[in-house]
Amino acid sequence: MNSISLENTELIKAVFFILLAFLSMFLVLILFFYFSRKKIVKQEIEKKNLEIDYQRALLNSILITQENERQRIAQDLHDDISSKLNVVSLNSYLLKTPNLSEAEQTEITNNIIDLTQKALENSRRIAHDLLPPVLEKFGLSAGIEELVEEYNSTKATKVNYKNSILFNDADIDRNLHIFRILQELLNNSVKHGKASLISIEFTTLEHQNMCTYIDNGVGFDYLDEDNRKGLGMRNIESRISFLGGKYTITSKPNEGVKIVFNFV
Amino acid sequence: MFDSKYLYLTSAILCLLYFIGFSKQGKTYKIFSFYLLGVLFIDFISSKLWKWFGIYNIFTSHFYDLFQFVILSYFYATLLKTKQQLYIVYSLIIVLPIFLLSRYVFNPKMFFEYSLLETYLATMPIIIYGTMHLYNNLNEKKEFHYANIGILLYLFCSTFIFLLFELKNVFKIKSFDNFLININIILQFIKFGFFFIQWKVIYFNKHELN
Repeated sequence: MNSISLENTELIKAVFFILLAFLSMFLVLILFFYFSRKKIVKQEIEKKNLEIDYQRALLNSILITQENERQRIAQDLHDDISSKLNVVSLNSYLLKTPNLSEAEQTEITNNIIDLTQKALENSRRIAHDLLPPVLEKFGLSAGIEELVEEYNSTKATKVNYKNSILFNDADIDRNLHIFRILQELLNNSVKHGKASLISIEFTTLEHQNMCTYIDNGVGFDYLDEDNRKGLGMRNIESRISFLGGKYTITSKPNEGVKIVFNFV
Repeated sequence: MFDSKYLYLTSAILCLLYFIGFSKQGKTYKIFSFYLLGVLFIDFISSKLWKWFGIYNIFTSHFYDLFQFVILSYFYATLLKTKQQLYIVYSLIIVLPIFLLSRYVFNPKMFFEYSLLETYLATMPIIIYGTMHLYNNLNEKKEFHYANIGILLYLFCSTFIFLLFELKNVFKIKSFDNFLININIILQFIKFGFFFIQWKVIYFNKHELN
């Protein structure tokens, strides 16, 4: 009788501990999944917030660039065209004045012709600056060649351009992005970098189009946050992201700049 | 394969591997190496007790449980990060051994019996620490990740095996014996497999996970 009750206690004890073990391990698992989910969701939100902040910064830089560009166009229109048309208008009124001598009439007419020609030339230049017609008519490669030619004509800078890619000329939007990136880079190299030698090379590597841009200018400290987050760099960054590509910049003070970016 | 001889051999090789370059490693690694050595020692001694001295080895399970609890608590104390987690580890490392040892002082006879409560109390906190470490590791640098998984997997299953073993003793079923022992041996091999991967990660894929 005694041994049976002892066995029963042992049995109850064993069953109790098995149940306890099951229960506690189940609890551990449930708590683990609950807290893990919470942690993962929290981290996902943080990641998304960072992405949103980044997008916002890019958008902001695009808006600022747009405003700057508007300001520049307004300035150009005002300085180069409006002022000249103003004088043309004044001269035209002068023509109305009675008893003008032949010589005076000729002088005023010549003035008007001269000024309208200048205004016309300026308006063509402004339009060209905004969107080079060669880009639309003859494609990206010709556009870049013309851009390079412009820089080479100054004699202060020598730009080498090599291309082994056949650009799709129908894709005007993408071509314009590439053109603008190069425009910005060349402008930076000459204006800030004081570079005398620049090389631009387009190659294909494993079905990826690559552009390698190198200058021998003063360079900059790429690790410095301020240099990376400038408006120009932001612009280049957003254009490369529109192209679905990635970029790397290597630069140190007095060691020039090397930028490599790929695009589809 | 089911011969525990091979298990000791694997355990010994693993110990040897872990003790190569021992001095260059950090605290966590050293504690873990001592854990492996201690487990090998206790297992080996307990298996030879009957052969050498003619005594039953039931009481060695107390050493095993207590040793495992204390050293793995230290192991996880070096891995866990938040204050609350460490508070739990440090309090239990003092309270639990005192409680378990005091039982033998009041009732020395218990020393020669297998204790379910002891196995449960000494294993459950380690499982909780392991889970906490797994939680800390989510989306972060995974320190001793494979060792942790090995420990967790083995403790999860072995706790049930020991409890089932006790249930089997109550019912006096003999045929079940070998089955449970063999499962335990297989689980130990799996555990050593994880420890081996951990060793490989530490020495060969340094930048990947550790």
